Formats: sequence, C-alpha cells, structure tokens
Amino acid sequence: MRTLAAISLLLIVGLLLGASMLVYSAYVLIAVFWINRYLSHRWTMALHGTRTMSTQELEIGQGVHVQLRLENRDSMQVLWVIVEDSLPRSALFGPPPALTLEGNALRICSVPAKASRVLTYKVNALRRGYYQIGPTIAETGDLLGLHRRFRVIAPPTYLLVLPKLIPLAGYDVASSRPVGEVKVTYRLLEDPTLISGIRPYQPGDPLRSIHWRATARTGEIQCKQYQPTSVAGATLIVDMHKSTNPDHHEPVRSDLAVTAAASICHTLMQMQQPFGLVSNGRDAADRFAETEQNQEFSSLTDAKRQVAMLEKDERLRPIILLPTRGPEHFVQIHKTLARLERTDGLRLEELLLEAQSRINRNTTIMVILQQVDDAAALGLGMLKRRGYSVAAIVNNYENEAFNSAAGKLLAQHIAVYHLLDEQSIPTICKNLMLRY
Amino acid sequence: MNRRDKKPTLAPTAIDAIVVALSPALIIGMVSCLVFFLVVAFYRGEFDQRLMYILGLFTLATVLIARIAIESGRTYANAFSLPLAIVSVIAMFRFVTIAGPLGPISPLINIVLLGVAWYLADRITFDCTSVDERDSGVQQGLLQSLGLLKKETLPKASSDLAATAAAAATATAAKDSTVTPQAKSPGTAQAKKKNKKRHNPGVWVLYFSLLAFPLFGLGQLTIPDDASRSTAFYLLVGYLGCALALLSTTSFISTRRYLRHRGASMPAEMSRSWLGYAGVGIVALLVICLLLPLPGRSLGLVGLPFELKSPDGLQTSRWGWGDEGVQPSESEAEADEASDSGIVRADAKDKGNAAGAPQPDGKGKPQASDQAQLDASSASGDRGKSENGNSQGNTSQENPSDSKSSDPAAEKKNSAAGDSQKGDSQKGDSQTGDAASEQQSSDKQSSDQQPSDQQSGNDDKAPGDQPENRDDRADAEKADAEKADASEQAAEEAESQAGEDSKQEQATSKTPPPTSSPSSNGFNWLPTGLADIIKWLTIAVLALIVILYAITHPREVLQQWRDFLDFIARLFGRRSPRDTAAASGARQSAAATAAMRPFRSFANPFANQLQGWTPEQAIHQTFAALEAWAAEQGRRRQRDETAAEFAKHLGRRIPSVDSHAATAARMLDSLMFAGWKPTTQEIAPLAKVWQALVDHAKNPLVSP
Repeated sequence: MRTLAAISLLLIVGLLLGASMLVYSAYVLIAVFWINRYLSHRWTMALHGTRTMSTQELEIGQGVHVQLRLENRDSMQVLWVIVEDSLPRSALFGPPPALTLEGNALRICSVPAKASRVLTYKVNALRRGYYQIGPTIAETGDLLGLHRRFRVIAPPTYLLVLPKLIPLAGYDVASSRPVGEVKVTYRLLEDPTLISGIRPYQPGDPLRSIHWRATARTGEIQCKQYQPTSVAGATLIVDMHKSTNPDHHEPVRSDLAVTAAASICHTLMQMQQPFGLVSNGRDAADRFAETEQNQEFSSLTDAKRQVAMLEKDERLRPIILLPTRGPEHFVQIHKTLARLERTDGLRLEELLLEAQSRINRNTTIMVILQQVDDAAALGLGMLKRRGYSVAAIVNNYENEAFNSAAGKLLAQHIAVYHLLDEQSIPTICKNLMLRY
Repeated sequence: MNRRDKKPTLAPTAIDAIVVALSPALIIGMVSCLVFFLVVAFYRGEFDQRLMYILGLFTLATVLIARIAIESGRTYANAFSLPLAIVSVIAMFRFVTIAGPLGPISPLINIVLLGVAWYLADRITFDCTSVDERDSGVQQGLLQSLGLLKKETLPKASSDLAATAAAAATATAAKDSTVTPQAKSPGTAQAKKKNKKRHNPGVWVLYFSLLAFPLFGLGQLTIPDDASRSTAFYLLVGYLGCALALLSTTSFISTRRYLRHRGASMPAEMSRSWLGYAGVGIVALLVICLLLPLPGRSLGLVGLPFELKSPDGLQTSRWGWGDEGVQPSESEAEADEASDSGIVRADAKDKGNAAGAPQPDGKGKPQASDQAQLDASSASGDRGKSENGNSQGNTSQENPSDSKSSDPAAEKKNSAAGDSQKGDSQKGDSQTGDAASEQQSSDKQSSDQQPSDQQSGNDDKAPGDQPENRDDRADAEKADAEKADASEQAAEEAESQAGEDSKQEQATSKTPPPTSSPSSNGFNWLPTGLADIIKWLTIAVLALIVILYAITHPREVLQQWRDFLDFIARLFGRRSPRDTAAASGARQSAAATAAMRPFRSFANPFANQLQGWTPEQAIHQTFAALEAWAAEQGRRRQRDETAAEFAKHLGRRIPSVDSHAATAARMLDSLMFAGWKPTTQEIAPLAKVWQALVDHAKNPLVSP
C-alpha cells in the first residue's frame, strides 16, 4: 500500500507537470529497488544448509572435520552467495588461540538451481573449552549492492574440548586410600570396624557398643571405643572468580586448575573413590545464543552479534556436583570442567557459605585457588573448624602471592600444596599422599 | 587489534585493477551527463557546444585529479587542481553570465557551480574507487546503511522485545530476567553507532541517483524546445546507466575486497558473470523503462510491425456521414479549392486526421514531408500554396495562423488556443519539434538573418494542430477570408517587418514554453473534453489512493515524514532528533512501549468462570494484564524490577489498586518460586483484581 501510494503520488506529479524525465527516473529507480529486493529475498530464501561434524567432543590436540552442504531448493540460480560458518573470534585469535583452522570457513560461490555446494574445513583444538561452531550465515544480495541479506541457514553446533588428564606420578594404585585419610576431630560418625579401645560404660552409650568380653572379665560394663570415620575421596572446590584469577594469568592458570581438578577426579575414579565438584565458575553452556534457523539480518555485524555466544552470563548459581563414584560421574565432571569459565559472581567465601550445606563431610575438601584474601582464608578456616577435612592447592607461580596465600591458610591450619605448572600435577597428587 | 591495521591475506588481481579503472570512466560519464543536462536546461547562450566541451574536460580532469589524490595524496593532487581551477573559472567567466537580479553576483555563482561540480566528482570518485585494503567494508546493503529501508530484523527485534515484555510479566521472565536483551548484546547501541559511522562504498552514487528525481524532473520543465528535451532525455538515460553501472562495479570491488580480507577469493567465472549479468540487466532495465508510457507520449517508442488500414481505391461517399473520408489527392485538393465545398471537405479530413490519428512512432515522422511542404509554402508566402499545405495534412487552422505575423487580432485569437496544445504537440508531432529545432539552430547561426516567412510558417504549424477550432467550419471559412486579406497585407509588409518578426520569434523560442499540459498526454486520440475528463479522473483516482493511504496509515505517514527529516539531517551530518532521543534512552522506552500489548487485548479469565484456563495461566494472564494496565497509566514495569517491587511502586502511585497489585504479585511469586500448586478457589481474589482494573479503565482516576 505504501509503495502504491508513493507511485501514485509520483505519477500525479509527473502528469500534472508533464515531466516525463521525472516519471522515467521513477520507473528506473523503483524498478531497480524492487527487482533487486526481490532477487535478494528470493536468493536468500532459496538456500538451506546442513553441517556435519566428525565429532563434537575431542581432546586437546585433536581435530574435527566440518562439512557444510549448501543447497539451493529454488528453481532460480543463486548468482552469488557468501556462506560462512561463524566461529568464535576470541577462540581463533586468542591470545592464545584455542582453535586453529585448516581451510576456510568462508566461501563465495554460485549455486545453480536445485543443486548444492560443499564447504569443508578442519578445526584443531589447542585449549579446553566450549566453542560454538556456526551458525552458518548465508550472505547474498543484488548485484548493485543495494540490498544485502544475511540469513542463518544452519543452526550452530557446539564443540567441547576436554581438559587434559595427566597421570599421577608416584601414585600407588594398590593403595586403598590413595589420596590419604585424614583423621577428623569432629566425631560425627564412627567406624565400627576400627576399634580404638574400651572404656567404662557411660549413660547413653548404645547397647551394641558394649564389649561383652571385657565386661565379663572386669565385672564392669565396658564399651568399645571406635575410631572416627575416615574420609575418602575428595570434593574439589575450584575458585574461578575474576578477582582472584587475574587477567594477566589467563588462560594459563585457570586451565591449569581445571586440568589438575580433572586429573585428580580421574585418579579417584580409577580408585573407585567418591569425587565431587563445587565451583563458583560459570558454565559456558549458559552462554548459548538463542539462534533461530532462517532468521534474517540486515547487516553482517548484526548477524554475527546475534548468533554469537553471549559475552557475559549473569547466572550466579554455583556449580555443584555431589560426590559419587563411577565413570559416568567422572564424564559429567570432566565435561563440566571443560566448560568452566571465570566469573564475576560469587566470591570464594560466598560460595562456601552457599554450598556448605551440600558439601559431603565424608570427602576431603580440596580447594584449588590462585590468590587468597582474608575473607577466603577465614571461610576455609570455618570449614576446618566445623570438622571438614580441608586442603588447599595454591595455583600460582613461586611469588609473593603464593607466600601470602600459604601464610593465611596455614594460619587457619589448612594444609597447603603448590600447583606450579602442569608438570607439578603428578607431584601434587603424590604430595597429597603425604601429610603437610 | 585494530581491524583497520589488518592486512588482507590476498592481493588484488587483474580483474580488480580493471574494474577500478572502469569506475572513473563511469563517474566521468555520470557527472558529464549531469553537467550537460544543466547546460541544456539552463544555458541560453550561443556557445552551448563549446561550454559542454569545456565542462566535459573539466569533469574528466576533476575525476582524474581525485584519482591522483587517492593514489598520491592531496598535496600532490593540488598541483593539478590549481591550474584547472584557474582555466575553468576563466572559461566560465567568458562564456557564462547570469542575467537578471543575480547578475551582479554572476562570477560568484559561476565559481560556486564549478566548486559544487568539483566536490561531487571528488566525493563520488573517492567513494567508488578508493580501495582501502585495510578496510573490509561494512557488508551492508546501501539502502540499509542509508536507513531508507526498515531493517528486516526490526520485526524480529520488536517481537523479541514483545516476548521479553511478555516474559517479564510472567515468572518465567522473572526467572530469566537476569539475561536481558541488553545483557545478551552488550554494547549493541555503541556497535550500531560505530557501524553507522563506517563508510559504505556506493552511498554517494545512491545520492546522485536520488538526485535525478528533482534535478532532471524539474529541470526538464525549463527546456524550451523538443530537440533539447530529447537530448536531455538521452542524458538522463546515460546518467542513470552510468550510475547503475557504477553501483555494480562498486559492489563488486567491495565484495572482492571483503573476500580478500577473509582469505577467500572470488572465482573468475563468478567475476565475469557478476559484471555480465549486471551490465545486461542495467541495459534491459533502461530499455524496458523507455517502453513504458510517459507523460507526453501516448505510445511506446516501438510501433507495431504491421498496420491495419483501408484497402486502396476507396472513394468518399457523398452520402456518408461523419467527418472521416478518403484523403483527396493533390489535384483533387486543388479542385476542391476552387469550390467552397471542397474546402469544407478538406477541413473535415484534416479534422479527422488531427483528432484521431496519433502518430505511430510518437514523433510524427509521417508528417515530415508535410513539414517540408509547409516550409516551402511558408517561404514562398503564396496564399495558394499555403492552402495547399493545409490540404496535405496540416489543419485548416494554418490559415488564421498565417495571418498571425500580420494580423495581431488573429494572432491573439489563435495563440489562445494554440498555447494549450503546444507542449503536447511537441511530443506527439514532430513538426513542432522540427520547427523549434530549426528555429534554435537558426538562432544560433544567424539569429538576425532568419526570413520572416519561414518564421511565419513555423508559427503556423503549431496552432494548426488545434482541434478545438476545427469543429467550427464557419469560423474556418471566415478565417480563410480574413487570411486572404491579411496575406496580401503581409506580403507588402513582410520585408519591413522581417527583422522585427525575427526578433519576436527568437524571443518566443527562448521563452520557456508553458508547462506541458497533461490534457493531451496520452489522450491525443480523444476529443479534448473526454481527454480532460479521463485525465482528471485518472488524477482523481491516484489522488484518492494517496488520500486513502494517508487516512488509513496516519502513523506510518508521520513516521515516514520523520524518517525523511532524519535522513535529511543525517545527509548533512547533523544528528537527528531521534538519535538524540536514542542517546537519552527514550527511544528504547518508546520501542518497549510500542511492544507492550494494550490492556484491552487481554482476555479476562474470570469472565467465564475460568473455563479453559488453568489457575497458573490465570495468574500469568492477570499479572501480564496488570503490567499492561500500569503501562497505560504511565507506570511501566522496569526491567530490573521484581513483581513485588512493581506492585509496591504501583500501589504507591495508584492507591486504589494497591492491594490488588500486591495480591497478583504475591501469587505470581508463590507460583514461580515456591512451587505453589494453586487451586481455583485460591486464585479467586484475582477476579477482584480484574474487576478493579476494568473499573479503573472505564473511569480513570487521577493518580495523586
């Protein structure tokens, strides 16, 4: 209606003035606009894409082949189309880059009617993470550049690069307590298999704890004294707050923490010990972009902005995976660690307050952190005083920050271990077998 | 890393160099067509050819100097600019002067005109041929970047806003409200602003193309004669052709540059097909548009390859009725001349010919021989030959026209009718055009040597096409008699008045003709009254469409007007009021308000005793309606406002709904965050909420 009204108005002016040139110009320009708009729209709608990936999970150092099939379902040839698989720029260019590309994820081609074209490339993983591959954006338009249309023709797929699992050096597989037992001072539970002694009966002692033989021998009721339940396994608390994981250490230190946590969990899994994960970090999966297929955009900038994974996630809920045994649980933790990212939400002490009620007392609490401030040290000390077995792995260089962190943790009677680099991870596990 | 610092991984190829070299040629053609048109339309001097030559070279030089500036810098280019400016100004001063009230500032106007032409040529050259390999381009359509089209994503964005607003009304939205649209795309406004600032190659070509509307359309009205008008029309075609070709090459270069930046290359086959399809498409478009009906042209340029006509040998029946009949031969016409009845018959024939015989080619070529005979007869000044000319196709009104040069009364009488037809006949009848062009050429060569007889003959022709006077046979006979007397006097006074007549005719030819009357535009084959009726009916229908649109889409019209003002503001580098509003956040608020459903669009779940509604749906619906109602009351829910906060603030502002809003918010919170499983009885208080909202909507209270 708007166009009809505009043409009517133009023709009225042309007729009243007898301005043939005005009308001719209008003819040409309106025809140019309409024809080009029609062509660009039709070409855009004619294209459909299908992406095929050889795998969606891979280890660091592996690669994945991506094949993108572009199909023209219309009876008109698409003269030109730039098809591009949108890849995360930060992952490709870093620094340091997390992915490398073999081939080109962008191609210009013409697609004959009822035909298809194939775009292939390979993505190599250099760092753990969760990366969005796609969506595929088809850009086409008229030959005069008046109309450019950008359309999502294939939804995104996600590539999960798992963190490394480093074998533990000096680690005794035959040991029933590979990561050690810690005698706790808080006798919440007692182990009936470990009798530490006998003592005279006191009112309230359970009947089953009476040592009948000693009672008969002494003539007084004696009760068995059990050792408290020893803790086995570990609940890994990974601090990923940005204030304690500064940018100048990224992404090396956070990746190192994740690798250490995954390696320890893997070790516990092999030993059939329970292991869990608590972190204030954010799950990269929460940054999904809600991309609709066939969504159209007017500019490439808008298109890339809309289809890219969100830069920021406001989610505050901590990641808590309760301790359990078994490979399935390990796979879950492994993937979660792969997607773990730094946060500006909960700090470590806030995380401890939030997650304390859900942390299992039967496992050692192993906190992996870079920097320790007074609040964090106090929070860990409170855990210690409440009977938890707490150990801290300070993930930092041999510097003032480490010394400061160690001092504050030792003041809270918390064992401190030093995670210097990737080579020290096996040593860490070995050191954990030793008492601080 | 600065994106502009990034070098492309691939280098330009030969095809890039060829197209970059082709673009200046197209720019030269485009600007030259524009400058030539200005000369044709506005220049009334006697050195138009020389002026075109000078301005053509000037355009060529400005474009090439702009290329030098692109390649070697402005400083080096200025060494060429200065001499060009000097010689161009000298030439303009020598050949162009402005008469009238602007005469005193004629040099200044000349300099300004040259400067404008230079600036436009420079801008468009930089726009289309400056290949900055560090810049990958905007990758956006020209129309989108200019804001001439609504963004395709706008409906989507608005739907997102609507969805967000609706979601905000529900606990689902409250649950996910941490991820706002702003959070999803941080810096969106900044990115858009930044994107707007980026240059999109080709925009200047588009500006030039849009310039064709007012410049050529209105400039056409000042062109005095048909030959110049035809020349101007071809210049327009060339202008548009060059502009479209330039758009194509610019888009081609820009796309190839973008691909190079991304490490991809365009196949040679695609390059060929791109340029080939674009070239063929542009030519086809221009030709097809030439075939469409235009004002002043009843038929297209191409006539039918065959024609339907009467068999030879037919004779006019003396018992026949109507005005039509067989055209008498020359001998018969002379015989008819001897008798009054013969004159009447010839008049009848001419009337039918003039009124009902549009020329097949639209230019009246079949009457070229008539024109020659007319010229001959006019030159001789012989009355008999003049009448003979009438019988050969010209109308009988030539006779009174012949007397125009000598009889002021007759001239006045005929000019009144002839003027209304002059503009139309210039398109449909080549005689007028030929005569005018002949006048023009003669004016240029020897304006003071033009024979008065020829002038008279030329003048005779235009009024001769007047259909109104043909109907009046008595007047024609009377005019013949007057013409005879007048011709005798004219023969005596011809020599003495030749110089004076020549000056008058020259002045007439230089005077811009009256605006082409649409009365005969495309309706030459109809009687004038009916043509006028159809003409005005057509205009009325078109006007009705425009008025209907304006009535039914007032907001859209207003919006387009604002868009136009914004576009004009941006065109001249100003910040539009809307952008200012956007900067202050008002735009987002307006968009969000527009996305909000009106309260009346919400159905009351309690109207039918919750039939078809679950309690959960009823709670959601009620709170969403409360939000819409509050927005209409001027208290819109903020994005960072929880349901309870919203109810509290709303209650402060409108106390009459305080308890109702609190009830709705409490139920919503309980439903979404406490796992509440409401029953129908438990949500019964919401019916009162609805009642209060409806009552308030019917009788709005002034909030304290």
